[in-house]
Amino acid sequence: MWRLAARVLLGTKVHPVTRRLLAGAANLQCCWWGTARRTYTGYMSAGIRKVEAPDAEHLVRVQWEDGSESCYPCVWLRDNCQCPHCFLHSAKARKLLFEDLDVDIVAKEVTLTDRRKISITWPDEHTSEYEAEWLKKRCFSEAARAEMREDLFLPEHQYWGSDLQLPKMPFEEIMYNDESAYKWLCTLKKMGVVLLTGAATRQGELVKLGHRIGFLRLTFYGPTWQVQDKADANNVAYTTGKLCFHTDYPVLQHPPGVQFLHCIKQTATGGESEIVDGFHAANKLKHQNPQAYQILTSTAVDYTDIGVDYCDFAVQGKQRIIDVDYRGQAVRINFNNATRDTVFDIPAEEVRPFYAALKEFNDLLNSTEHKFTFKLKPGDIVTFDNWRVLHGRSSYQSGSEVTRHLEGAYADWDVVMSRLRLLRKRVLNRD
Amino acid sequence: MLGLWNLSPSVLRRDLYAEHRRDPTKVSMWRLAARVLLGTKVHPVTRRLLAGAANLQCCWWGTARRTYTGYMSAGIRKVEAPDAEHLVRVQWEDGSESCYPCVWLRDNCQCPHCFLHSAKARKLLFEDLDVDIVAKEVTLTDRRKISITWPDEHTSEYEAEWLKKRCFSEAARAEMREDLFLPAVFHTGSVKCVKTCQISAVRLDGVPVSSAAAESCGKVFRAKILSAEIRSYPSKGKKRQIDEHQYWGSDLQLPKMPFEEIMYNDESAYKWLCTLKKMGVVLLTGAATRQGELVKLGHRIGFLRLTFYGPTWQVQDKADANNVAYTTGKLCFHTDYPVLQHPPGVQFLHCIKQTATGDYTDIGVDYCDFAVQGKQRIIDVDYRGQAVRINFNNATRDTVFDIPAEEVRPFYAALKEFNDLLNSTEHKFTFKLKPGDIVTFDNWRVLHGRSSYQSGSEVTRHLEGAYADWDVVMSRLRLLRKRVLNRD
Repeated sequence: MWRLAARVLLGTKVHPVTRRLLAGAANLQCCWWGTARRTYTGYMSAGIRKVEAPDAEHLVRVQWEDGSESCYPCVWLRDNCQCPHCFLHSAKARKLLFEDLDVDIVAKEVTLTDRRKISITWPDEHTSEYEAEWLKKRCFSEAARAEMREDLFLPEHQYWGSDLQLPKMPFEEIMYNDESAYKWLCTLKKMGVVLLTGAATRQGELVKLGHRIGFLRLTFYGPTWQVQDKADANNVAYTTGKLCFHTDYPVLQHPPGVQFLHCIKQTATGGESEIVDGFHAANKLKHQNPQAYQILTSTAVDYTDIGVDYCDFAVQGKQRIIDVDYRGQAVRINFNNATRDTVFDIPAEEVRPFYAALKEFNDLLNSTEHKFTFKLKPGDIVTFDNWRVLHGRSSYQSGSEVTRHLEGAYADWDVVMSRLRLLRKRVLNRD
Repeated sequence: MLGLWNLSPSVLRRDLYAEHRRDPTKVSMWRLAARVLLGTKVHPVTRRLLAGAANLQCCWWGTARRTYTGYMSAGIRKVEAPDAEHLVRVQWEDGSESCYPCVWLRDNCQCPHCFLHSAKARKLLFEDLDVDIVAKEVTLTDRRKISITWPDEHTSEYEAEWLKKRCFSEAARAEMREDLFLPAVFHTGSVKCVKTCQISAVRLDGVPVSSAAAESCGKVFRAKILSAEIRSYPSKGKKRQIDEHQYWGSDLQLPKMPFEEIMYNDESAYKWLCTLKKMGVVLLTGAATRQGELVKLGHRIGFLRLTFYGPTWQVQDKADANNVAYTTGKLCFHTDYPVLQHPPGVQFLHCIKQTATGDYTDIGVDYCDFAVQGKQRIIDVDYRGQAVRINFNNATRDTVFDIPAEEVRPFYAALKEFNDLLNSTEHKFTFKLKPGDIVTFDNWRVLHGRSSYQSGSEVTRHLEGAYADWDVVMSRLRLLRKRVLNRD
């Protein structure tokens, strides 16, 4: 609806400022986040009609010009004074020491400087000023907080199955075009997978990708690693065998959030890739077998990884197959059948029920309505959410020469999201 | 007593004596036995065994007993697969029994078809595992090995020692847990019950419950907890308390070790990391007073954790500081980097002596541009309600606060209580870093701060800092332990 309005308005003669606004809004919509509405609202946000500090209420009430109201706890206002004494602007960080904050503080005096700013004088005569826009964004209502949450964390996921239209984008384009890079990362967050095409067929492309987002995640397998058949393989991936659906590196306390697999060489026979939306499958499991879901979201499974690569290592970890947040929503799948330890730290009577539950989940992952199969071509880089998407490959023929070679690398979601936010800011501030 | 040591390796003698001197009351029965036995004429194999056992004790983990048991573990007297029970029962020579679910046995077949030995990883595909599998035939190859034939004629062999380690009893699993995680980080099914009104979070019916919820659940819940406790400790009436960490306050004897020693001596490095895990802080002394020492430390453990502040970062007064740490102001107690989903587990701060002139690296330039946002609880707890990480940095705590307005003041009040505890004179420990000192500490557990200092035209204070992940540190600790124990 907003895009339609934007288009109509863009076609009419409008004030350049408004046109820029609408163009920005339309651009945002390109990312399917539906944030245009919010930015639109934000830009034209109501000024302040009235402000007061009701007695004995430890809060400040702001009446907006549009009639709505927001209440701000005094302690929070004082805590977030933006003056140079309390806030280090070069760092965008709080200078105020927590011990200097009075939890029971009340505002001594509150005035409306103008419709876009309020001023508060505290009992110790310190004064703080707050801008309307800054306050509006930080309104404590459920709706405002939800909007802020979505803005900062882009939590929306779009589930898919075998009907996936695999998102594809040219590697060169995301490397050098900010709008494309933004679209790439938005899609990676929302869908969980994007195929980049047309990269060179040599090592090093992932290092470039790493620089594009910030930096890669170093692990015991190196800054990047070569997936190919190796003698005395220290990982099942370095063989020609089939790899059933798994996530990478569940043995780590913080498994890599994002994975890149760059196809350098592909074999003629075998070596196909498959992916599946783990969150979608987990949701299905929750509804069709709550007991199995309960087991997989609560049982700590031992993982192990011992060997030598970047350096010698002996990692041990415990993870739940399906990690859920406080609301019971899946936030990460931790499943790799190869590195799942022989050691199993649960009472004997819980063992078979666990395997049965995992069987249910694994069957869902492998069902034809959920899994998506494709074959990487040299120059392809599949980028995916390693917390959500499980991946696998079919076996292929071994031989005296290396017939299949992928280069792989990891990145943390913190780093990817940081780049996404910076790109969004850049992209939205352009004409 | 010292006269008994003339047959022992010097490091064993030194460490045992040192520990005894530190706290003579702490000598356990096993150590006493080890000492006595070591002093008598014993078979070289037994001596090596005992030396190994005693060495383990050097790390104050109390694992000697277990290794001792493990090494001399009972062989198998009898093995059977009772009908319709989906398990295999092993009777040990010492009279005890262990039951192994068939599905687990099949899942963990160690033959080259099912297990890739070069990787120590499972080859068997999960889809090829029958959850309801039963053993067709079970035989005792010899007292140290059993053989199972499965319905599809596949055969699997299991060694006694391998099976014993993986026994599913609560005691065996607890031992394994401590062995792998030094000590246990994650308990499943076990209960730590302090008082009936202070029930820690418990895994009951698989549902994690916070202690607050536990308190409000009432009698029925408490009855369940009691029965869980009984189930977990069938042979004992008393609680099992694993000494996970050693807590300290202002009375801390700050552990100190020479930097050079931990860099080049494996026993010392092992002791350093054990102490880091247990105490949460170790001061390394005598490092050079120039940048680069932390890079060496990184190589010693494996690798450092790269963040937006660089592979290492320089703590000093900077113009247009992009972090409050890069000013001369006071920093109250905080942990580093709570904005990250996975804050750095370990932190190193190396005090470097400053010269007035000379080049030093970029001021105010960081690794790349960044815009990180995160959500954390101030105190992260596990499903039992035990603190596993503190996430508190008052400087980077956002102006944005995503809770309902009526919860704001109670939150600040709660944080005030916590902050007052942190700052109380009985809890905090103050010290001043000297050039060459490197304070290494658990960034999930220990909060740190600094008092303000005078700013000037020149940099008068300069620390180099770096991070490492606990996974990396624990990996090095395990490898060092193996190396140290396998030496004579």
